[in-house]
Amino acid sequence: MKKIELLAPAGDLERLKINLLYGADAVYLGGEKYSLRANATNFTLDELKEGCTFAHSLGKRVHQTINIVFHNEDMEDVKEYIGKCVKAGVDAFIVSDPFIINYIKEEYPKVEVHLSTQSSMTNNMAVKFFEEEGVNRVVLARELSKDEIKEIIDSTNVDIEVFLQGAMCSLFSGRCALSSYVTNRDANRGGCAQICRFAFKTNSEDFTFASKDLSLAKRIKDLIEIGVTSLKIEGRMRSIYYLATVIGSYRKLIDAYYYGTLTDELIKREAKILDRVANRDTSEQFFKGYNDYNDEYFTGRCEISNQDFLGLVVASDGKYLTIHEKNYFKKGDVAEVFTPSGEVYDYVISDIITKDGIVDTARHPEEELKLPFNIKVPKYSMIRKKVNYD
Amino acid sequence: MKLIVKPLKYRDNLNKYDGIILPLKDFSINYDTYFTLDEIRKIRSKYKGEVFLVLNKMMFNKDLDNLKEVLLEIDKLDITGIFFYDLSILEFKRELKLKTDLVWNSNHQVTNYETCDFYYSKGVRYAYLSNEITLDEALEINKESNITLMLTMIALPVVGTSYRHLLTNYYKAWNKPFKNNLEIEEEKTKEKFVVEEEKDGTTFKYNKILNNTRCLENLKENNFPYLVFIEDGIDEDKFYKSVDIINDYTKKGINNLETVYDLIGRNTGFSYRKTIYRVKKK
Repeated sequence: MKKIELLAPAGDLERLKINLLYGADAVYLGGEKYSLRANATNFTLDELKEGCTFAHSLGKRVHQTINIVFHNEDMEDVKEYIGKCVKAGVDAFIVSDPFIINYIKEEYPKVEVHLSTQSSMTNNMAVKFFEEEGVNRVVLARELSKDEIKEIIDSTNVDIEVFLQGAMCSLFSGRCALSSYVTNRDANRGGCAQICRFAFKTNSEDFTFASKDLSLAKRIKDLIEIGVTSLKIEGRMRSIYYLATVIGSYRKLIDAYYYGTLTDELIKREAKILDRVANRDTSEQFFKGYNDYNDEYFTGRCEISNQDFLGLVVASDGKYLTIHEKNYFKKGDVAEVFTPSGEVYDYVISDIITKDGIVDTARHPEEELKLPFNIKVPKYSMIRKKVNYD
Repeated sequence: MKLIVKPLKYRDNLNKYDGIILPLKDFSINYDTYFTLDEIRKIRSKYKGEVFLVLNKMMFNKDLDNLKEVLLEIDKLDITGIFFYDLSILEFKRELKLKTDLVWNSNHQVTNYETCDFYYSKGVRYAYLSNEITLDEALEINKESNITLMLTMIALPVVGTSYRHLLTNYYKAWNKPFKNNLEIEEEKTKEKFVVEEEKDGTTFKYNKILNNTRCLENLKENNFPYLVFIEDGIDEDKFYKSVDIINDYTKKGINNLETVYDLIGRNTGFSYRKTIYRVKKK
C-alpha cells in the first residue's frame, strides 16, 4: 500500500523548510503571481528554486498554486511564468482555470497538474471530465462526506486529495463573490477579505455565519483506508509554531497507522494538541455526513491567540540553546523543547541570558536569547509551554 | 442582440422577447421560482422564442442518476440551451451524445476568453459572463472568443452560494423560529444582502438591482449576442417596463433609456469598476 501523503502549506521559505523537516511529504506554495493567497509572502523565482532544491534533497515534493480565476489581463505572461517555475523545479501545479491544464500537459508532460478545490469537485462525472483532460490529481470540494469521497475514489484513476485540517469557507470555494461586493477585492484572484467572518446586522441583531475549522484527526484511519492519496493542511499564512505542531501531530498519527500502533489514546492526545494550537473551534464538517449549527459560529467571532510558543531554536551547541523569543516567559516556567524529528525534552527555564546579561523574564518577542541546555538539538527545534494532555 | 428573460411565472406576453430562461426544479439554485419538467414541456409547446433551462446546482453522486434521466428527457424537447455550473452536465453531454447546447454558467468564474474557448472546444456553445467583470473585459471576450456570450442586463446579482443551511442553523443556534429571505447589513460598509435558503443550500444576493443599461450602446455597437434579465426580487411592473424599453431600443432604436434609471436605479455593478487583488512585492 502506498503511504498517504501529508501536504503542508508554505507561505515562505522558512515555513517550507519547517514543514518538510517536521514531517510533511510535500508542500504547496504560491509564487509572486497567480496564487489565491495574494497577501501571503509568497515565493520569488529564486526562493522557489531554493525551496525545490531543499525539498528534493529530502526526497520530497513542491506543488505550486496557479489557481486564480484568470481575467483577460492576467493571461499575458502566465505561460512564460510557468516555464520559469518548471525550471526552478516545481513538481506539480495546482490549477483551477482549465485553459492552463492543456498548456501544462502539452509543454511540460513530466509536471503534474492538480485541480484546485476552487473548482468544487463534488461528483464522479465532474472528476471524470478532468481525468479525461489529463489531470493527475483532484483536490475535492470540502462539502463531501466520507462515503461520497470513497465513491469518487472508487470511480476514478486520478489521485484524490482532501482537506485534513484548517479553515473552511462558509460558501462553496469559487462560488463566492462576497469579497468583491463588500471590499472590491476579488476572492477568485487571491484578494479574499474573508467576509464570511465579518459581523452583519439583521434588524438590530447580530448575524454571523463563519465556519469553524476542519479537523479530521480522529478520522486518519478512515482517510487512509478509503484510498485518499494526499491529506492537505490549510493555511499558507499560519505561524511556524502552528505548522510544526499540526504537522508533527499528523505525522505521528499517520506513521502510527502504518506501524500498527495507532491507539485511541494516541488519537485523543494528538487531537487535544491540535485543538490547543488552533485559534478557532474545530469540527469534522461535512466529512461526518451532515452539516448543522455546531459547524459554524452564530454568536460572533471567536478566535483565541495561542501563547504557548516560547522560542525558535536558531543554534544549539550542547551547552546552550540560542533562540528567538516568541512569547513572554520567566525563570522557573516549565517548558518543552521539541525537535523536527519528534523528540520532546522537558525543560525548566533557568537562566535567561540576553546580550546585556542574565534576566529573570523574557518579554521582548524576536529578541535573541541564550538558555542553558545540555542536549544538542537541530535548528528549527522549538520551545513551548508544557501542557498536560493526559 | 437577443433579450432573454427569467420570469417569476410564465405569461403569454413573454413572446415579445427573444427567449426565456426556466430553472428546472430540483436541479437549480439561486432563483425565487422553479419549473417542473411537465411545466416546461407545456411552456415549450406554446412559447415561440428560444427556451433556455437552468440546471446550475452543485451535483453530488446522489443526484447523478436523476440528472442523467432528466438530461435525456430534456434532449427530446426543443431546448435552446442549458445553463450549467457543475461539469457533470458537460460530461453527460459528451458521454450520452446529447444534442442540446450548453451555457457555461459558473457564476463568478466566466472571466476570460481563453477559458471560454476551452469550453467551446469541448462542445459548449454559450457562456454567461460573470457579473464581476468590467464592460471592457466583456467586450474583449466577445471579440477574442468563439463562444456566444450572454451578459446580465437587469437582475439582483447572486453573490454567493453555500451548501450549508445557514438560516436553519442560525435560527437553531438562537432557538428562534425560521424565517427565510433575511436581509443582512455589513456593519462597516452598510452593504446589504438578502440571504435565501432552499433545499440545496443558501444563496446570498446583493440587494441593489444591477442595471447595465448604461452599457447598451457599446454592447449594441459590438454586436453583443445576448442580454439576460432576471425578474426575481424586482418589482414586476418596474421590471417589465424596463425590459420593454430596452427591447424597443435594441429592436426599433427607440431611446427612452433614461426612464429605466428612474425605474430601477443606476447601479452598474462592476461594469465600470475593476476589482482588485494584491500580491505582496518584496
